[in-house]
Amino acid sequence: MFMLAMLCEVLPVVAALSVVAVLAVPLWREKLPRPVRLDGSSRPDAAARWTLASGAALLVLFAVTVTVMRFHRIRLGGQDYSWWRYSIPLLAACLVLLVVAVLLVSYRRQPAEPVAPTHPRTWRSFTGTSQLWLFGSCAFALILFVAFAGSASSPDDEGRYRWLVIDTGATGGMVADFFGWAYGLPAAAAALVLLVLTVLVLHLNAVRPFFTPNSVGAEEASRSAFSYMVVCFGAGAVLLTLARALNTASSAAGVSLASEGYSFDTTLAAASPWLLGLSYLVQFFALFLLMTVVAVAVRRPQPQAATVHG
Amino acid sequence: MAEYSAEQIAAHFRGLILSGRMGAGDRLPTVRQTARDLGVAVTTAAKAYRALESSGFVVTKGAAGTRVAAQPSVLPGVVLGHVRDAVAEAQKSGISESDLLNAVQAVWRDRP
Repeated sequence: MFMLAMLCEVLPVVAALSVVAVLAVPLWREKLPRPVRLDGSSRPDAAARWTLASGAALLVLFAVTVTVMRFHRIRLGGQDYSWWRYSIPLLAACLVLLVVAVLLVSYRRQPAEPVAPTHPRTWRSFTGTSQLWLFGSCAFALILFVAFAGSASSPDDEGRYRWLVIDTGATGGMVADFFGWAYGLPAAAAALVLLVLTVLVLHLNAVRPFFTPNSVGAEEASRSAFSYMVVCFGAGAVLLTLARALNTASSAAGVSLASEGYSFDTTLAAASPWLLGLSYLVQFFALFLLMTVVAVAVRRPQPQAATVHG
Repeated sequence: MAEYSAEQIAAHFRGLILSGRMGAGDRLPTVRQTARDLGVAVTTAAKAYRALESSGFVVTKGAAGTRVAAQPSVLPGVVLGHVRDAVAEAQKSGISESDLLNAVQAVWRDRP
């Protein structure tokens, strides 16, 4: 158990090292999209990329802070109930995407030389199917876990479903703080809002007019790289929330009560170690995705000429 | 920069359809996207789409959007093949699009 707790402490470092390792191997590095240097006065791409990367870095910092706080048994928001306790990374991600959306909308420029469209451009135009599956699966996993944990939760004195109860029958029982409906529903709602905002940003990114016929190739490459970042950012935020929820559920499920010579476990006691292992795995993946966003942003943009189609 | 007229927009899509770059059932960009991309008013783009529809090149079906009609009048395959060959040859030789178009027009005018 101590080893697992230590692993939890160093997980962000492991994720950071993994991203560095990925970037160090040319074969893997080439798989990451590379931003394109565009004329700064004409496109908001660089500003949008950096906004997203800053948001991702803040989420990573948040994850590290919460991990350290948990290690020292300090709870985010104190001991009282705070509906936003688990939703906060999702709400922060929503805010970042909102800023990005405003950037994309407010940076409208009339094309220098209009490019007649040849096909419809939608939110899916610059996003791969695998990326959509990634985000969809993450959101679905979170909502599924909200339903699972919510159905296992019990209400507190004020009717908020945030406890996991050990029922010992006549001898009384005890409660542990749990990821019940009271935390799960706001998290699920925030995840849905994030999903909608992600689609909105992907749409705004796709429908922008091209600046000149010569820059179409470069702009398409830049939009693909940006879409990749947006999806990784959204999925990372969702997974970060899921990891925290799994961790809390595992802690609550692992509680046992000794009373009158008997030991009583929660109904989820058998799942506790699995939930803990899963939370570390999910957190690693979340940090990996968020750091990938930062990694794409800090890559040296390739010159525009290299991407222009003939 | 000269602004696109509805006729020019319609001619652009007619060209895409006739050259086989847009097949039957293919979706056209939305009127709004076309207007935004070309920097024209939405009404201008809508006028172009109406012209295409009235000439039978496209059909508009509510939520399904505007699509290339099932049997628009297209160039015969032989002609289209020659056009493609000429474009490929011109690109290989480094001839620009405008030079090729000028040559085609000159040849067209020279014919009795």
